[in-house]
Amino acid sequence: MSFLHGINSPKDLKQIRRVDLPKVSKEIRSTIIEACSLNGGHLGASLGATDLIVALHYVFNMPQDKMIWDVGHQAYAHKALTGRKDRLNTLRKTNGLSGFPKRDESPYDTFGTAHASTGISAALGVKTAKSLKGKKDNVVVVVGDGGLTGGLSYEGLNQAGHLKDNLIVVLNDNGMSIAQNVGAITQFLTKRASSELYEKSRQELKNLLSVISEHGVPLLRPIEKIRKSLKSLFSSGIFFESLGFRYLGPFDGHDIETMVDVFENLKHDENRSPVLVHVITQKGKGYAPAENDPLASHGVKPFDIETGKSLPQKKAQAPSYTNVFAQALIKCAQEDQSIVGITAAMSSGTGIDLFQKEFPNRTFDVGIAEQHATVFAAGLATEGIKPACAIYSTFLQRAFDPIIHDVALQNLPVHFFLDRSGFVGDDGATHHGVFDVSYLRCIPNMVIMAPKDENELQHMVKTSFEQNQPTVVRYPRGNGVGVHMDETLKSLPI
Amino acid sequence: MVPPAIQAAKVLKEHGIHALVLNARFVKPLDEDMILKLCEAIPHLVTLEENVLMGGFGSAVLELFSQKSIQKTVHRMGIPDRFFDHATPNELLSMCNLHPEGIVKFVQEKLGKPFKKSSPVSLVSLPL
Repeated sequence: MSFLHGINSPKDLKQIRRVDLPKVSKEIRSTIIEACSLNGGHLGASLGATDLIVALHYVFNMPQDKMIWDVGHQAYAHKALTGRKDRLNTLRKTNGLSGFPKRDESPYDTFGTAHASTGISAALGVKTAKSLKGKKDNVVVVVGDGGLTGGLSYEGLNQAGHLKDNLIVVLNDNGMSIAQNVGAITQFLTKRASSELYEKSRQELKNLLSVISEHGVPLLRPIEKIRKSLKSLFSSGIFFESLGFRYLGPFDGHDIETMVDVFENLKHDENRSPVLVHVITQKGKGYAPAENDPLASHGVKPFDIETGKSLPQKKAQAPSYTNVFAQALIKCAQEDQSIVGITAAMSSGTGIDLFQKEFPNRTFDVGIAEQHATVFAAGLATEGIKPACAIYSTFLQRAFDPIIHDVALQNLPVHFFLDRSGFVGDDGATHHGVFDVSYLRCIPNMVIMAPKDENELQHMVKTSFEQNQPTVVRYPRGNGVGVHMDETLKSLPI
Repeated sequence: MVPPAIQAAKVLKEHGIHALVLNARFVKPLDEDMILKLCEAIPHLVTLEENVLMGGFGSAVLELFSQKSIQKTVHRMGIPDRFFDHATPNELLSMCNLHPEGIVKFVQEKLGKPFKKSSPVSLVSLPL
């Protein structure tokens, strides 16, 4: 640990030679892997973003300049570089570091995050405040392609393009949320990133430019036009450019030198429009077991560093509530063709992945978009489809208005299943599902249930689908209490 | 909250307090008849939930009593009006007294010590 040892703030990082930065990254990765092997944590995303974070802190001057991490679970390297490297092994432990950026943990944590897609809006607020105060400090927000599956991101982009302040949005594109990202935007980005044809055309245009530029300035404007239209043919850049952003990239998010160059240029260009820097990263980068299985490396339990395998857990005496829900849902769906499953990018966390194996055509992963999931379900319900919306309690908070305005007001039978109700533990304050009874009970037409054990949960799943009105079942994280499971599901009298 | 309530009831019994645990599996609609019948028969009422106290299940019971003009104290157990950081679920529950020992202690404090042997209590619990 020759480099990281001496880095107690980003100022120390700036003393290091550029060529040595990859070594710093490597040391940070080792620290992250060690911390996660002890405590579990968001390993894959943090390893993937390490090089990007090193480049950003090398160039920008935190804490005058501000950095915001959308979702925030990728920011372990940021914690390591901002005076918290020696406490990384306390991540997610009682009284230890939070697994997410947290304002009262460090002056370098500009904004608390955890629920996806808030970063751009928050960063725009910070940037606008700086402008109001006459300050020209840079504001950078790092958002993943997963974060771009949530509509709030676009609300932020929309206003940012309108305000024209020189916000820097870094799109950290690893092709994944927790699982593989789905949806049209993702395909769009992927197409952009891998388009060989575009690369070839761009190279040819560059050659052409170098020839033409010898003939003077007047020709440059039409050439610029060609460049732009070429981009529009091949790139997702046009999407961001049409929102008023300058689009740069895609760059290799593990090539620190190039990223340092790009950020240096932006740092010194005060008069520019907002810019979107597209970097391609690999989830789990630098640690073979995580690279090979990015889904499993997303949120890990304590593991053996050599093999990447989870340490043996005490064998559960009872099935998890997630699993009991999934099995009951499958049973109900076998008898009722109108039942479909909906998840907001949490198919394995909610058990919808098991349902998907049985009913791939009746499963919808809508992206990290609970608000959309709820209105989508309401639409389905108007046609007699029975949607099972499996969403964590904490994330359903994001769909409060649709629950009232689209579901309950029209008394549509949308059925919510709230995993992780109650305290969730190590993800902390942002993730505890402790508000759902309060925010749902006040809404007319809702039926709200909570099982006392896993057997009652399976009966509540059946009971839900028999109601011709919106229903909610809340159940906790973890394993059941170990009661006998009835073979046949029954309907509970309400 | 039903399993810790049952455990707490066992401990209370050793202290001479008979506690009945009701599994209130429907938060809404509330089983009003059952709760009203219960409170007629049993002098003390404690509600339990792993949800914030404000607007939660205990609040629903309070609202019911208010609506029916029932003059009775509802002792509510749940999550207080503050945010809780990361810790194990068991640690968090004990911070809120939502573990068997905490429930026993809460009942002792609310009912006053020493217990009168003839003072039964009903623990109306939101299930989990």
